[in-house]
This record gives sequence, structure tokens and C-alpha cells, in this order.
Amino acid sequence: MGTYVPLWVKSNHSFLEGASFPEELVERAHALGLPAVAITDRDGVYGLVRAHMRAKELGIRIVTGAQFTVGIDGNAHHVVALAKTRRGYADLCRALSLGHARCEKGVSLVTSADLEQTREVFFLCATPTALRVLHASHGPSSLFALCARHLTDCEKPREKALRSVARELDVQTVGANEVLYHHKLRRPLQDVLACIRGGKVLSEAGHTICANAEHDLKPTDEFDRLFADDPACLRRTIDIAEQCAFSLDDLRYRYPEEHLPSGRNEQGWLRELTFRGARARYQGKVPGDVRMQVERELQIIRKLDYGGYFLTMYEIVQYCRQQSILCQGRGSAANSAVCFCLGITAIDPVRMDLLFERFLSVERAEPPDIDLDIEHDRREEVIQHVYEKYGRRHAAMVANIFVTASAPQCVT
Amino acid sequence: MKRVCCVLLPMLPLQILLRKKPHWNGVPVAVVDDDGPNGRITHLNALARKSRLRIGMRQTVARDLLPNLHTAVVSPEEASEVSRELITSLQTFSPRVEAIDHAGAFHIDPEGLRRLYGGYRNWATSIHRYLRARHWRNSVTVGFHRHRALAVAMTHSGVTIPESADEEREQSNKTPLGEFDLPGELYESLGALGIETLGDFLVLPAGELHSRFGAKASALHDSFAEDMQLPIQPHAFDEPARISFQVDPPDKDQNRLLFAIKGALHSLLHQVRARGEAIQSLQLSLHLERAPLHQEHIESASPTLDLMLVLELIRLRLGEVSLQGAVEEVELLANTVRARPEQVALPGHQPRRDMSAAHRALDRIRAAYGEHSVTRARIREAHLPEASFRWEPIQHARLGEQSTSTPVSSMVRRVYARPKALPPRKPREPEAGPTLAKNHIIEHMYGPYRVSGGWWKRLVERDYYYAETDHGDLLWLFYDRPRKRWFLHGVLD
Repeated sequence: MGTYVPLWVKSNHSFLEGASFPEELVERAHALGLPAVAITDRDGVYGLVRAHMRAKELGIRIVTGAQFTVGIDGNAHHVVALAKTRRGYADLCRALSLGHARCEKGVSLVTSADLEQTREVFFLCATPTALRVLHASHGPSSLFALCARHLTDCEKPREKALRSVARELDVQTVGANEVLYHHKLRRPLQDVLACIRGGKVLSEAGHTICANAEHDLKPTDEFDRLFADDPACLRRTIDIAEQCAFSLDDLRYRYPEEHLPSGRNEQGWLRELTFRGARARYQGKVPGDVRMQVERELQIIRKLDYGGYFLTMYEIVQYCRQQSILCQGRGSAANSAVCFCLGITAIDPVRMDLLFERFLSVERAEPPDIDLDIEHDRREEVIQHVYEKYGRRHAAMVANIFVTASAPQCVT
Repeated sequence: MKRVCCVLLPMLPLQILLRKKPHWNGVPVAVVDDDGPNGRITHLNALARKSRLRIGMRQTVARDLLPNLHTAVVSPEEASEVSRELITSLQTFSPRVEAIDHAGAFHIDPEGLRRLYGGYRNWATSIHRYLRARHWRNSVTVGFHRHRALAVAMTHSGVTIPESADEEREQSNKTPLGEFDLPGELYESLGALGIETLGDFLVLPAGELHSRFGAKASALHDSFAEDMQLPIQPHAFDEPARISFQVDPPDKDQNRLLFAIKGALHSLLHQVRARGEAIQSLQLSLHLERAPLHQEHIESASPTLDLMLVLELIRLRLGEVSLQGAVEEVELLANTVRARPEQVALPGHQPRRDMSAAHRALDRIRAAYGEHSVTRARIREAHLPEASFRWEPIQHARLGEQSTSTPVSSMVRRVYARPKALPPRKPREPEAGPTLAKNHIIEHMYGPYRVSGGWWKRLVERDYYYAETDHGDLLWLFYDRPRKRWFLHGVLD
């Protein structure tokens, strides 16, 4: 059983800083016998999902968090935030969104005011200034002074000053090193990444790269030796990890409620629109097999609580029709009789004997994916309509990132 | 709140005795007040104390208990002489030093020196090392209250700097009453009441102490009162500042004499400045060849440390007189007074630099040693110490920018151009520690501070340590992990 939990761990999703995949960090933590490992990527929660999936397989806990860049008096301070509960995770993500919305792409800077409403979160401050500021807004109970020991000569005076302020504010200390890679062997890669980020060559890197290879995930005995003078600050990492009970498993799909006519619920309104569309499609006489198929699909949609999604797609298609913008559903949505009746797709899946489960099934429990092809030179009109109707905070553009699965094979 | 420093050399008479008789180290030793059989023990070393000997015991009784006991008297004159020497030594760290009524204890005023040394700790550590290098066991406390600082020094070895008056109070309260020179009867009476520490003693009501326990107890209690702290009464410098030099061959030319006096005057002013004083007046004595002594008294309008001003006054005075013979010897005797703080500021803080003279000097060096012989260090951003600067030739000297911030530390790390390999030791592992030259032992190691990198060229992995030797030297060492060997990379002073 490990005697500490690493609480400041950055994966390679901390772009050009972390040098190990989230899975590698989780696997190493498991191999070292650590009870849990935090994933605290820089200004985001990017590596969490991959770490969470691998941790579930290995039976190790993930402490959910992020490393915030907090602007105080014109200087940037690093503060590690760890979510205790679902509410804490929501607050943490909200603060991150505020930080990103304020800055240019790829950078985030939150203010102490952004963090004031953040509850159910532990803050680990590495600088006296950040400690004082967050103490003023959060008090000592959710605050810790983060003592990092990477064996550099500037750390001792820094830690002394931090401990002095922590004593003054009655804040407890916690020991955690900044982990950038799961094993020391990744240090060269981390140096290269840091150089790319800093725009320097290795021979001129200077302080752009770390002074030594102490940013690895350390075995318990080594970490115990490092903090032999204050074992309590290591025990506290375990207490913190135990109190951070939030897991990504606690999240579930919750589609925003649609704007509904008064007196209607989501499912009832979807049913009404579907049969209204079916009557239009089949000239007033809905065939029995179609009715059966529609009923079956509506049942599955209700069971999986996806009604709102279908209503949103219907609304967008309706808008296109009203504005005479060509639009057509495609892909697996064509297998749905409901989509056909709502006018989203143009192929009758019952007549074509298409399998609905290819689109949506209870067993797969995956969210439905309705692709709409929209007239390309009028696509912007639809985008603006979506922003206008649902609000800028509830609509976003999505991009795909293609990852070459076997990168090493590309190098010849 | 003003600070006060207490330097304590515990059991000074015993230390004096052991310095006189170093071969007595390792045997039971006692200092007695008289050589005769009725002489009483005043100080004991640990070995003698282990053999149940006690202070106040008669020599005959002690010898019965411990036949191989070595005893000797340390006369008050001897102790005073050593105390005077110590005061003179301590005056190099502060002009305000006071020997107090406790053997081996001195109070020193640290005010005004923090900036010079980069903090109280550096200053106090310098004193501690200075004394230890001269084989004086000592402890230094920079506290807030004269007597509390002494009490802390009695129980804390090395350098102690309480953060606050409360912390000092807390530390001093733990001092056992046995550390104070209390009469045996008083000590026993207090012990019977369970009063064993200073803290226990100080909570007793002051009013009743005198009538119940006598004047000694009352005086001790009063000395720790917060509002009865006397300022330091500095020991006056014994010797007046003076300097003399021979003129060979004897000379009467005033210009040449003034030039020679200028050099001596510079040294004299340095001496006076180090005492924290300034020259009020100067007595110039000129020993003449085959003529009586010629003396002049020169006095400035106000105390000064200005070399050119004093020299100008001498020039004007000598211009007025006609010497009856050639001068064989010149003697300058300064009458000094306490200087204002700005007068004792370091010369380096008063920029008075002749850049054209600097350029001329550099030109001469270049002419003699080659075009690239004059270089300056340029700081580079790097983790490896030797890569963190590079030497580059310069053509012109430039005034350095003076930092306005308070220096963090005044210690200077002198780095060797090439790290010196230390003698190998088996097993050659860091735990085995480095081996130094003969007679030098490392007492404390601070570190490691790890520097590694350069894997793209040649892997470097070093564990740096600061090492403190028994001679008081501070060394900067590293253990080269790939080569499994210790190196000396620099020294601190």
C-alpha cells in the first residue's frame, strides 16, 4: 500500500509539457502500488478520460483536477485544483472555461474572482502570494500549501517562505512534486517538448528545460525519503485523495431541455410531431408496420432520454425548410423511422428494411449521431441561427483531430 | 524591534585551561580557585562531571573520588586578558561590544550590519565560525532581550535567531536555573519548590522574592523584566588609531612627504572606519634628522572620514611651517569620535570612480598581455554552473549598475575553473562522503541539489552539497554520479 498519492501530475495532454500518455501514468502508478493518482493537466481536464478508462481496467482511483494559471498582481501563479464532488468538478470546469474565454487560443488565465464561487474543490498553492489570496476567499479548510522537492537549490528558501505563510494562515502543508513523465527515461522527450514550446534548441535551452530528471512518478520509498522530515504532509495526500470522491463515472448524459409548447413534455411533443410527420409522409394513413416501428423507436428514445436531441435536430431542419436552405440527414440516422417522419432524413427505413439498431440501441448505450448535410454556402446562416436560438454558451463548433495510430512506423 | 546579540563561550576558564594544556583533552579536568587542598572547583569538564564531581567541591574531596583528576587555577588576570582579546576580535564584527557579568558572555549590537552581511544569520554565522576556527566553543543568539538572549545561548549550540520576542521568551523559559551562577543554597531552595527552569522562576511574584530568597534572586528576576533592559555599554577601543612610517632616505620635500602621508592616511582612515568612528582631530608628529620632534595638531570643523579633506588640511598646515631638518619618521595619531551612520558606509557605496583611469589601466594590461587579456563574465541561462557564464573580451570598462534591493546574502562563491577531484574513497558511493585534505573533517553537509542534463552531448549528473568543515570552511562539492567520484567545485567566503 502506497504512503502517498501524487497530486500534481500532468499528462501529454498538457501540450508540449507532459511527456507521458495518461494511460502510462496510470499504469506506472498502479505498478508502484499507489492507491490513486491525480491527473491535473495544465489549464484543462484533457487527459482525464483516457486516464479514467485505463484506471477502471486496473482498479486504481483517479483524483480529478487541473493546474490553474491564476493571475495575481500581474504575475501568473500555478494552483492545483482537485474536485471533491460532482459540484466541485462543475465549478472547476466553469472556472477553466472563464480562463480560456478570456485569453487567446491555447492560453488560460483565471482571476481570483473567477475562483471565488468555486466550492467543493481543494486548492494546492505553490506560492505564498496565491496562498494568501485564496485564503482570503476560501479560508484554510479547502486550502493547502504545496511543497515540491525536485532537489533544486532555489526550492528550500521558497519552501521556507511558503511554510512560514502557511503557519501564519493556519493552512496545512502537502508534499507533491510536479510529475511530467511516468519514468525518468522520458526526460529527454520532455526536454525536447519544452524546447519546442520555448522555441529554442537544446544546446541553448537554459532554464527552458528542467534542471534535472526529478519530475518522474516516484516510488513510495523514494518519496518518503524526500519528505522524511515531514511525513505528515505525505499522509495528507492520502486524506485528500480519499476526500476527492468524484469520478467521471458520476457524470451521465443530460441533454438540455428543449423549448416546448406549454403543457407538453419532451416525449409527448416528440411523439406528436413524429405522428404528425408520419401522417404527412403516408398521406394520412400510417401503415401498421410503420406505426409499430415508430412506437418501438420512441420507446427506446424515451428509455435513453434522447428526446431533446431529436427535437433540436427537428427544429434545425424546420428552420432550413422555412428559409429554403437545402438540408438532408445522412448516415445511420437514415435507419430511423422517427427521423424519416420528422423530415430529417428522406429514406423510409421500414420500406427499405433498414435496421434501427445500427442507429440507436439500448445495449450499445451510445448517444445518437444525426449528421445533416446543409447547403454549403448557406451553412453560416444555420450556424448563426443555432447560436441565436440556443446562446453562445450552449453551442460550439466541433473539430476532429486525426491521430496516426502507428506513428513510429511513419519514421523511416 | 531592535535586536541584540549574545555570544557565549561556555565555561570560559575551562576552555582557557584546555587551550593551555591541550594534552588534558580526554581526561577529567577541573578548574579550581586555589592550588591548595582547600581550593574549590569552579568549572568541570564532562568526564569529571560523570565521575560525580560537582562545582563547589573541595579539591581534596574531588581527588578522593577521582585520583586521576587534573586541576589547575585560571587566574582572574588570565581570564580578563582573554576576555579583552575576545572583545577586540568581536569588535571586527560590530563596534558595540560589551562584556557582561557572566563568564564568557558578550553582548553585541547587530544593528546596521544586517545589510552589510546580508542578514542576521550570515552575520552571526560569521562570528560563530570565526571563534570556532580559533578553537573557541561558542554559541551565538541574535534575540530581542539581553538576558533572554543569554539564556537561549546557554541551551542552544551554534547560531540561534528567534523569529520573534515571543519565540525567544518560549526558548529562554526552558533554560535550567542551574545554568545561572546562583548560590547553592538558593538553587536548592528553589529546587525544593519544584522551580527548575527560568520560566518557572519568572512566574514568581517579584515583590516577595527579595524578602524570601534574597537579593541575588531578586536581581535575577529584575534582569528579565521587559521594561528594565539597559542599552549595550560598548567597550571602548583601547588603542588610539595610529600609524607611522619611516622616510628613507630622510626627506624635507613637502610634496614627496604629502604623497607618502596620503598612503598612510588611507590606512588610518580605514582603521578608524572599521571601528565605526570618524576623525575629530589629528596629531602629526614628524621625527626630524638632527632636530627636535615637530608636532602639529590638525582639526577639522566636524568629524570626518574624508581623505582628501584631511590631506588638504595637512598640506595647508605644512605649507605654513618651515622644517628644521629632513623628516626621518612620520607618525599620525587620530583622536576619534563615534561616526554618523552615513560616514561609516562602505567606500563601495560611494561611487567615486575615475573611468578614464580605468581605461588607461585596461589599455596597459592589453598592451602587456594581448588584445584578449581583458575579459568580463557574462551571465548565461544554464543549470550547469560552469555553463552559466562565459568570459568575453571587452574594450571599455563600464560602471556596473548598483542594485537598489537589499542583498539576500553577502557570501561569495568562488568557483574553480576546473573542479578539483577529491581523493577516491572506498566504497565510492555518495553515502561514503567525500574525503578532504589531511586534518580537515566535514561536520555538516547540506544538499543534495541535483543537476543533470546534456544527454544530447555528454550526460552530466551531479549532486551538489555545501559542506562545513571543522575549520569553519564552507565548501561547495559535488558527487559525479557517472564517474562515481567527489569533486570540489568552489569555496564560499
